[in-house]
Amino acid sequence: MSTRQSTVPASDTLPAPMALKQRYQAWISSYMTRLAYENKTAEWVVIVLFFSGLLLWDAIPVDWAIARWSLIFHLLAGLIVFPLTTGLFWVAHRRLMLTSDKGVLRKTGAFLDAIIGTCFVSGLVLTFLGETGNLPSNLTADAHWLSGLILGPLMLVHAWRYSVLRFKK
Amino acid sequence: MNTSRHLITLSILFLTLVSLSIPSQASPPTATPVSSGSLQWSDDKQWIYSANLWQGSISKLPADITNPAHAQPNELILGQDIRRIAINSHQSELLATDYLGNEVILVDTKNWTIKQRITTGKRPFGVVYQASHNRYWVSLFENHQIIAIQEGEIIATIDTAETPRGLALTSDNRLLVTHSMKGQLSIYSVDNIPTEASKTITLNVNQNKDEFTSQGLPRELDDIAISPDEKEAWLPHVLWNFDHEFQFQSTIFPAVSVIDLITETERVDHRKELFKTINIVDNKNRTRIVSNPHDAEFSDSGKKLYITLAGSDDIVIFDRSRVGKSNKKRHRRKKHRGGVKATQIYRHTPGQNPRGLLLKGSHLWVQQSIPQTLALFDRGGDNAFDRVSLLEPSWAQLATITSSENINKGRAFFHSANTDLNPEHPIAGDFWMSCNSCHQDGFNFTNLYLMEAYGQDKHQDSRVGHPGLSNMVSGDFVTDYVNIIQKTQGGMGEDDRDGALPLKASEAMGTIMGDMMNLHQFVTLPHNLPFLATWLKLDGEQRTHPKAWTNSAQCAECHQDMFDQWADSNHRLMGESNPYFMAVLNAAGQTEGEDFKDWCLGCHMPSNVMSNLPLKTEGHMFEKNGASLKRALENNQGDIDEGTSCLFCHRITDIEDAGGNASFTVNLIDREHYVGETHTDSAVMQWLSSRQINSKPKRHKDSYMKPFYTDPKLCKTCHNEFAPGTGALIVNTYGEWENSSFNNPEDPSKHRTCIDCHMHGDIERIGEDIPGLSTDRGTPKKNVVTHQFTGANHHLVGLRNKKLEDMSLQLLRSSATVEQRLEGRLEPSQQIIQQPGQASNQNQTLIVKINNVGAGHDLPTGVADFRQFWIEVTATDADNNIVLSSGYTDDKGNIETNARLFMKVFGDTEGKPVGLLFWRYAQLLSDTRIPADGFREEQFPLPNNTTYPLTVKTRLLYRIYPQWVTDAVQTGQPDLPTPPIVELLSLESQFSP
Repeated sequence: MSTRQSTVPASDTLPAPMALKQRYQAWISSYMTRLAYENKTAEWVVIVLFFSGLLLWDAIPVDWAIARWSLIFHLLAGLIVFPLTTGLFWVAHRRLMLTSDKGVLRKTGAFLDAIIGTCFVSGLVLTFLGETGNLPSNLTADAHWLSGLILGPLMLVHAWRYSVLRFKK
Repeated sequence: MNTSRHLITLSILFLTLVSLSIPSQASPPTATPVSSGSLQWSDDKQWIYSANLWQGSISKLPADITNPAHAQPNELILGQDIRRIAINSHQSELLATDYLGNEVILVDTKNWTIKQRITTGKRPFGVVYQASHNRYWVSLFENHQIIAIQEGEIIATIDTAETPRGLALTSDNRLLVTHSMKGQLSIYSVDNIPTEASKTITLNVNQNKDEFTSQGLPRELDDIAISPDEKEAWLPHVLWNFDHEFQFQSTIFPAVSVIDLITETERVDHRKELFKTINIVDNKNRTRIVSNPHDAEFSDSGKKLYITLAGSDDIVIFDRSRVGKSNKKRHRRKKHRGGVKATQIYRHTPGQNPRGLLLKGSHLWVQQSIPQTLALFDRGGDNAFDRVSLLEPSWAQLATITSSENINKGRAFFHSANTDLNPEHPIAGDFWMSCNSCHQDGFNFTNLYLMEAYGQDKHQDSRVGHPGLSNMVSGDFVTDYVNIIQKTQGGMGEDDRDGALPLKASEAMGTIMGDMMNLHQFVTLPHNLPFLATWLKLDGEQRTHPKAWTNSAQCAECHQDMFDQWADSNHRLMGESNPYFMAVLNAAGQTEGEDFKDWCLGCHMPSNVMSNLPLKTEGHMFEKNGASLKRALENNQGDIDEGTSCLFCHRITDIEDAGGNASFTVNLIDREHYVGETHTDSAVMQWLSSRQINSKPKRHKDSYMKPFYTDPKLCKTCHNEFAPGTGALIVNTYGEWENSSFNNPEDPSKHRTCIDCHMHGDIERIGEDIPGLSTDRGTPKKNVVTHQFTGANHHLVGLRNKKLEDMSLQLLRSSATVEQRLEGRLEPSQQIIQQPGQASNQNQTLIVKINNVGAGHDLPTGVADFRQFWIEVTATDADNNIVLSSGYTDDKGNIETNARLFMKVFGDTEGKPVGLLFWRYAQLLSDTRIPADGFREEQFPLPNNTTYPLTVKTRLLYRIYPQWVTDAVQTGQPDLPTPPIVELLSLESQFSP
């Protein structure tokens, strides 16, 4: 019995659902690879969150009529838009960051990992459990404030070369 | 030679110049006395400035009577109620006080624009400019403070005696302050910022058995007129004579007090009073009566003084031309006649309610506040026989009248005592008094001073105000307005000497009905009594939307403990769920009219009043843990909470100490709410707003907390009650506490406010801090204020929550102690040795003493007719015979008639107990309550044949409502359990001879 090496791609030999899954994975992989280099939306979202958050800082006297809209915007953008944009970008971009030849990018990237995670998780805690006044909630609020404050500038340091704020290239 | 001559000449010239220049450098700027007023001159007297009162504006117009521009002044809208203005010495700016806006406004007088608004305390009124220090002094009428303002900033706030109002400044920098509702004048030295008054003069109070003689308490002091020589200050005011039933010719008198500014004392003999130095007889051979002296102004020479009479619409002129010329020898045998006399009463000013005055040369300008015009008069001159005459009735229209014609008419009625305006149906008889003679500026905190001035024996007549009301005003306000006008002011036909037609109050029709409706529109303005029967006020809106009331169950999301405490409490279920309340409420509606119910509802169901919603037919008497609220929240249904809800209490933004009756202001709209927070019927929006509050709770906390929430005066707003119209003080829990040892802020260890006992989590540990949380997972507090509102009504709260009932009973038991003893025994030397079993042959008396040791108010307080608090005494002798018994109930639960109850009993005008209709309280029939820190001793004579040892058992018993009340309530609410008789204390003693 002779054997013949198949020239048909493997997927073609697979059952239809499996093939679909493989195509889907390929598309995802391709999308994520592309997304890893598309920083603009993610960066804009972080910048907007940074400034809308800044308006909520008690040290900055902002009229409540403005601050209340800033709060709902910050909250909704942080809950919905941030995970879908910056969050996805971060997932896609992480591999580049970790394998970068440049030490600065690796270090600031790793730091950003921690900062973004802290900021997002503390934001969720504040939204759903609240800054109620006890020690854990106060620490959470401080963590959100501090990580948010660092996040914006650190992101610029990390990727100033590609930043949307760099108008004159 | 020539040179030396020139030198000498030059030297002389130089020295002359130097000598001329030295005095001008050394002398201070020329200063003249100034006083607060609603009309002011510019420094050069070329311009007139006016504060246009409730029109909320100021105006500027040329004083040159030949300049036609004066007819249409330059008006500038500033705020709500501009009372007084002062102009700086450069004439570059003026400061205006906004009485209802609680701010002062700096105006650029050149550009006629607003420079700056400065928020002040409550009711800024008088203002004067102190040129030597370039600062303004402002009186804060309701805050009891004066403030100094310099370069747009408040540089000093000084606490004063109560109700500072009119201000004046002498050239030697003495600031004079009238204390309107206390009859005082304070003097402050303002060379530097003072900390307290250097002198306070209390004006003389005179009383006379003949009530028709001018007498009473000096009240409603306002602006001050300082004589040009600065030796005297004249203070127009009225006298309140409240020591008898209101009667229009004996309750209010006009007066002007005179202060000697050299000795800083009152010249008591010089007070200007009706029938004395104000005694001008008219052509009907009657003394011309005038009312409500308002503002005073001296002529430049000081020989004449002009005073506006804001009630009777007149000007009274005093001739001072002979001051200082009296021949002492000539008058030494004559009785002193009070000095200067009124020489003319100009009757009437062409427009109503004359207020501010200005003088220049022979001209006199008078501000007429109702038409907002300036009338021009010819003074005549400074001679004794010169007379004032009218030149132009409406020389200038000061302000555009923005309020409706009806409200303006109503305002005119409120301020008027001018009988001539409607001789057939006058607002007052014989020009005596207006509503404003007592209710200064409307219905506000000054109401408290009316009650304070009450001077009768409450056992004879407890009414402070209007007698003879048909339906407590709000039940049928037209009839009762006429009643008040007739019985208090002598109007509407009561005094028919000037042609008034007789009128039966209940039959007011046609134009009178229209007039009363106009008056009603003014009375129910937002800053007066918008709900008429209750003093509850809403800030910024006429009615709240029902959906604006956040369901309190929503608050439980973060404040679970607070909600749980409140949900079963009587502070929540005190409306439809309290059948006793509903029985009384219905009685109120049936006897007085439906609108009168608001008097009760203002405290018991305030949200319904503010949203104008009917009460529900069923309550939640047995409901536990706020089940219906939680259900409504789950179903996204609106639910106006019963009683005092979270949002209601925590959005009380102002309290006005008017003596009770819900005298607070609620504001639901101006809070710093979160996006979606007010959409109470949308689950999504409520979820979102909760997330926002979670994320940034500071604004939430700030918008629901006010510093005065810990002030007992907040509790006073509902736990003090007075009857509408008659002003009879029904409940005075705050006053009882205020006079007790529990009110001791100097010693915090002894100081106990309402919340220290009634909002404390552990009754046994009252006085100690109880740590805890007010927010779930919140900041640990040293002492958490709980919201179960422990009180005397253990029964209704016990139907829902036994723990809260136990707390109530624990509190009640901690309030008193019992002692007992025998009296009437012989002195030791006279004592007969009596063997056990032998009968006493002397009269002995059992004394039972109940001490109020724990309640910081009377025991019991509240509407004490309904609280049964009594002693049951049983004395058993050696033969086991009951020789004495008292305080037992019959089989129907009624207490025997000779029981010793601690309660007050109200009577009506005929001396019959008022029963449920306690608002008809007109005289106090009895009061056996035990005051805070006090005691009562009840005496029980023992029979002569009592054998010893004697066993006495005394029980202090309590029942929340009398049986007859419960019987009546149970007919409408059969499932209401009968309140038990609770033993608070028990004492058994054995007395041997």
